[in-house]
Amino acid sequence: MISLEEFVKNIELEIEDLEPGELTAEINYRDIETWSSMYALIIIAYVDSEFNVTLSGDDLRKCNTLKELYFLIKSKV
Amino acid sequence: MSLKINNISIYFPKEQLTNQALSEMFNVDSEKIFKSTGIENRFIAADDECASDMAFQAAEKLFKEHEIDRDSIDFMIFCSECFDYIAPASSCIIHNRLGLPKMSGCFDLSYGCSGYVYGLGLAYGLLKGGIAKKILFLTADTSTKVLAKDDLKLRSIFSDIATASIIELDNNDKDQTHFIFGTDGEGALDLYIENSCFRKPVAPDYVMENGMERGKMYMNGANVFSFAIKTVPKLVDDILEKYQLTKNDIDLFILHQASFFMLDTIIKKINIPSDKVFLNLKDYGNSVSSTIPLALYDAKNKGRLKRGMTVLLAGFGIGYSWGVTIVKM
Repeated sequence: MISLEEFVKNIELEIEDLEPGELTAEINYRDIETWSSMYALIIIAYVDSEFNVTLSGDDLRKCNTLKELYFLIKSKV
Repeated sequence: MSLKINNISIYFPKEQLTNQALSEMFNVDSEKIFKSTGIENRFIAADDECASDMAFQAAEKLFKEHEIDRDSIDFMIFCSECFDYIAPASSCIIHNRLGLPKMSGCFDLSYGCSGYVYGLGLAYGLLKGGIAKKILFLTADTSTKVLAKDDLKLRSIFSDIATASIIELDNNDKDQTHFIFGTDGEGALDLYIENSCFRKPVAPDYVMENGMERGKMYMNGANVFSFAIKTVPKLVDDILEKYQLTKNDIDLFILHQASFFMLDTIIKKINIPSDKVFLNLKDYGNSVSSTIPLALYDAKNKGRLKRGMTVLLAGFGIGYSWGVTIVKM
């Protein structure tokens, strides 16, 4: 599995609207100014294609940071 | 003997809702609405127009456009989730308005996005069982009546459209038509109309608070998305295996037109070239059980669907419920 740093970078790239460095492993992703429900779908689609793990909306809701999400995916891989 | 979808007609309500209109209502960039949905335009039923009225109009168009004798119909199915009353079945009301033969059966099929494939499966059973020979299959919904005025997300997606199809057996084809259906009620409340029936009726307090006289649609979009991208690719693989076909044998894939990003993710996951997939939600929005017959109709008019083609149809959504089949056109 890719590193946490790469994971964050890839998600930032998938969500095209973000400035480089805007997303970090530790910040609550819902605090991003432009956060929308669309971002949740982009993350689910990316994780599904990259790790073959289909996260639910509830999984995303339970996590606050990409670090938490990364370890959740790791436990499911 | 395989199933044959012989004719399709469509009814569109007069009112349309464009991204431009939505952007003015919600003070949001219209390009942003398009980017998140892939939809530019939707249809809205009139205030006094019910799904049964729309289905009636679609059926009348079908009889006229294809010169079909209504006395030849010996069964009717009405698929909707927006019925006139809890009882009696709206199909009885439509049956009477259309003047169909008294000695013909009908029933309501209460399904959403999987409804067209469900109806085809039931129709095939009725035809193969010798219970019917020519089935009128109607789909119609007025989902926009249960969308909160301030819900941009749902108002950007849903659209009110009705379709009418004639379903018969192809007696010259020795092949069978196969179906796969599935259900996962764990997702029932991820997409539902709250306060709309016996469990939680529309109460005066609720109407006062929400202004929603028929209940209100709620959707957990992320859960529905997750369900769809997990379920549909496997569904496609399973039906191909059942027919012992490969993706290359399918001339056109018609999937329920939910939203562009969902469809795009599914198509990438199935790994089919985009020219084999028909998409038309840009012009019509998500019209629930009407999207598949509307896509068949539209694909034929645009020259994408030709006689003799092998087409995979997959419906999936509210329930959760899903169904898939492969038909020869």
